[in-house]
Amino acid sequence: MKRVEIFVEGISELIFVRDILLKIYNFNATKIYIHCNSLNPRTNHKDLWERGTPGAEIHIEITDVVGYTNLLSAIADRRKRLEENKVSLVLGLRDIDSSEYTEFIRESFTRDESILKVQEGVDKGLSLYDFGMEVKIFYAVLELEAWFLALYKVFVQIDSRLTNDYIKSELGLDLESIDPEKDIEDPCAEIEKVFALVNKSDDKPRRTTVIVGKITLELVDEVKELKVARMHEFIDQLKSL
Amino acid sequence: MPALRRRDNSLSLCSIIHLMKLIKLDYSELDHSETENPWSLKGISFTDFNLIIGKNSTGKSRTIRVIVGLANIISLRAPLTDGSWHVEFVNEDSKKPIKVNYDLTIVSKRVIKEKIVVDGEVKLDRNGKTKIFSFDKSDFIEIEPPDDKLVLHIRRDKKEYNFFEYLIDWAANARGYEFSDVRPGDITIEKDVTTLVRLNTVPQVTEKLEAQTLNTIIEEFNSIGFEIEEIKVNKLSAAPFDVKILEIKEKGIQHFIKQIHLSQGMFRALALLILINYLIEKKETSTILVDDLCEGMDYERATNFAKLILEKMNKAHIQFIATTNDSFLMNVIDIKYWNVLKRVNTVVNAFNDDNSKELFEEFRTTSLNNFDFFASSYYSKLGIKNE
Repeated sequence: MKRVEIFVEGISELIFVRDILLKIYNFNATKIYIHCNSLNPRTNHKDLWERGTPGAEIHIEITDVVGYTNLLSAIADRRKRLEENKVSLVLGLRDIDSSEYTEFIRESFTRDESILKVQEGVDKGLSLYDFGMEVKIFYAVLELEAWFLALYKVFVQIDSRLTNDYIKSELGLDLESIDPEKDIEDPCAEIEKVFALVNKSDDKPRRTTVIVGKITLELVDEVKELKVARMHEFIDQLKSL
Repeated sequence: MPALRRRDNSLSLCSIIHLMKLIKLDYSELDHSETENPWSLKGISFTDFNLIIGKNSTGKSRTIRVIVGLANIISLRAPLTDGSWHVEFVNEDSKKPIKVNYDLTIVSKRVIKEKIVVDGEVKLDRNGKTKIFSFDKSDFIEIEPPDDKLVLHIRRDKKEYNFFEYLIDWAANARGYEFSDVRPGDITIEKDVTTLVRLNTVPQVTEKLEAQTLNTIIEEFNSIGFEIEEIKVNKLSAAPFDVKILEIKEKGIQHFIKQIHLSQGMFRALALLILINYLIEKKETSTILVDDLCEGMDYERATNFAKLILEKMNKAHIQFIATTNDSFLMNVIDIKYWNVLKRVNTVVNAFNDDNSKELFEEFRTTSLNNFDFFASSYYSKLGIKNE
């Protein structure tokens, strides 16, 4: 049995990772076992969700650490337990925002430069601890919703009116031609606008559930090499567990 | 001794005494005792909101006592106590901030050194001989103060030596509290509650509040996780004389709950919040020092309370200095507000954004929780060059 732990910064990321994993491994209960939990002190969800048989080939624990600032510390704090549990791979998934670096370094950087600086910092943070397993951190540039915008064809499946042409004409947003990682400032707000076009006012977790439910691996492959390079890096990692 | 320079000092008294803030402090005890270790503190600096942190027994509480001790000596709330203080203040009341330095050394309850420098200009220099700048004479005069008194006490004159007022004003409004020492069952009888010497005087302070302020307190108290509808002050029925206590009404509970039945964490937070709002209502400039902030409070309320205080300090004329070793509190307060204390034998060094900028900034890039400053090698890197 291979043990993998995935730490994510929020509930949206948890839903995304969980559902993508199920699709990658064909909902095969003997192949993959997934257990989800949250470190949210308010809710104390130790058992948020579970699927598969505990003796499955790949045992995956997904932990919502409630905020990207907790991601690295949550992994570091648990390093002994991870080693004791014979976890061979730890993945982290978090947003990465250019302002995270520029807000306290009083110099201006481009988005790419800032992101690189944050990644360098995270690598430095990781290097402070001895981990008895491989630890890899993945980044959703700006936020996970940028990935959803890249997979824009899900919108038409949610509501047949939400074609790219319609979104383009109403919002001036050509989702087919842009790379949301590079060309958008606030992906979450754009998704809210898209949903508002068809009078959908779901909150963020509900929207995430609806969108993730419509994402297929074919859709993901369609935009490979074209946009959201970091999403493909992450999904390729999930495929190779 | 540096040369004393003449200057046409035209400071207007009424403009100088507000918004005094402590900026830097060095403190040491002289090695003259056969039984006491000469403890010293170096490099601490302050902003409007400050969190003094460190491992157990590094000197967090003692740092608070050193500051409060100085304030008590200046404000005559305490007799002269041995020690050597080197303090820097800034007065932000005028367009251009004014820097005030005060050096005071007391040995065997005798004043050995007392020096006041305002914006680089020496105003008082006592080190053997004593010279003081007289506004009337526009020159320095020599005086011979008794060695068991501070010059700022015996020569206080709002016109002629107006620079004393900077320090006297700061000291009068600097108040220190031990959060963990505040208990709802400790009922205090104070004649003059406006001195706010103890948090337990909160019932008497509450009586003086305007209704609007009381509503703000209820709103803010609920925002940190409590659920109260009303606060009132009542006479303690069993007391032989006029003793006041707080009573609060919680949502969904029929009767008022007496102060003595409140939990410690709840009472401490409420008392501090009432005090802060009282100072804001009175538009008083103040320095509040709190040892063991949020001790006795649960995770959620403690972190919400700390965030609320930080937010309020940004809008008030209050300088807030607190100690903690609570990891949750550290995680919600940006390290730019930190002073990290490290003790080597009897020398305590403070590290902060001011004197360890590079290391603090590098740590921030790691995306680790603030508490990891201790758990990681960053803590051990602090002061390596200095030690």
